[in-house]
Amino acid sequence: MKMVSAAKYARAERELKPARVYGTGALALYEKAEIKAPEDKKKHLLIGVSSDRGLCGAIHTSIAKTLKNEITNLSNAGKEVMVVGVGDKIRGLLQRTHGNYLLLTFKEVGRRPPSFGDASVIASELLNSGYEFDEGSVIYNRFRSVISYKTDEKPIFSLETVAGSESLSIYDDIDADVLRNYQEFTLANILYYSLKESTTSEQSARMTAMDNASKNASEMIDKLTLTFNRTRQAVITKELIEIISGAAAL
Amino acid sequence: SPSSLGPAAMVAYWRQAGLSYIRYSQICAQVVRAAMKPQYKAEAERAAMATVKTLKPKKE
Repeated sequence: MKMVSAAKYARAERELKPARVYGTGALALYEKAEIKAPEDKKKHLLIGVSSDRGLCGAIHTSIAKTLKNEITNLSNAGKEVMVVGVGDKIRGLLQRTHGNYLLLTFKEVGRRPPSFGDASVIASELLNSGYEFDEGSVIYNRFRSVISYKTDEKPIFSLETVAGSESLSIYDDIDADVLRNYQEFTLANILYYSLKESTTSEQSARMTAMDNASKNASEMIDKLTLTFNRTRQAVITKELIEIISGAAAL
Repeated sequence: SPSSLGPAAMVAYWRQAGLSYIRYSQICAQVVRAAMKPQYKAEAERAAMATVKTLKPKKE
């Protein structure tokens, strides 16, 4: 079981290396210009990136837990929150308790490796959804190594927030149209990056989970074999005792 | 809206036609792929395939 996900993991990790540039490049502007949304902005968007398939350890539950905490924090701060779930598992985990916060969900995630086309579809649907968010975060599992991943959060900002940011005046040749194009492309980039990281984390977690399952199964087999033999010997001994004591009684 | 900008603003023709930047770059990429040599084209088209489906929650 581990071997199948090992092959998928190797491919995912290979494809992650060139994909990271898209994310870090897109986020570089936000970091360098220190763009922050003003505190009084009300509308928040949370995008949870996961997949459709299980048997991968705590991948989906960690995203869902982070989402639920963020929803609670933001609601208590008086902000309006909507959630987008990438992957059917997110929908399943959030539907019952936080179903009214779900704006959109995406499925058929995880069967094949994600492409930029997937990220484009998600970004387009978000932009066309009609939910004019001021600020948002993408919550995904960042891949650290074969045995470890971490649930991480990257910011996304609306056009108004970025355009209104004071530090943007130091950049040359930025008009509203350029900024709008850049914002749309950045959204697709950040989603592509988070999809690639998530997939790699998921495959590595699945490898670990499958390996553990195989090991536990082997352990169980060994333990049960011992119990079986002991029981078998006990039954034989009992029969012998019955025969001998029966013979002694004659 | 883009057409309500100042006089010197350059709004791209595709934006005026109603396309988003994402859709514009998708179409450009499609054109590039269509112009590729056959042995590279199939691989590029396979890599670019989008499989994700949207689910809008039912409004009660």
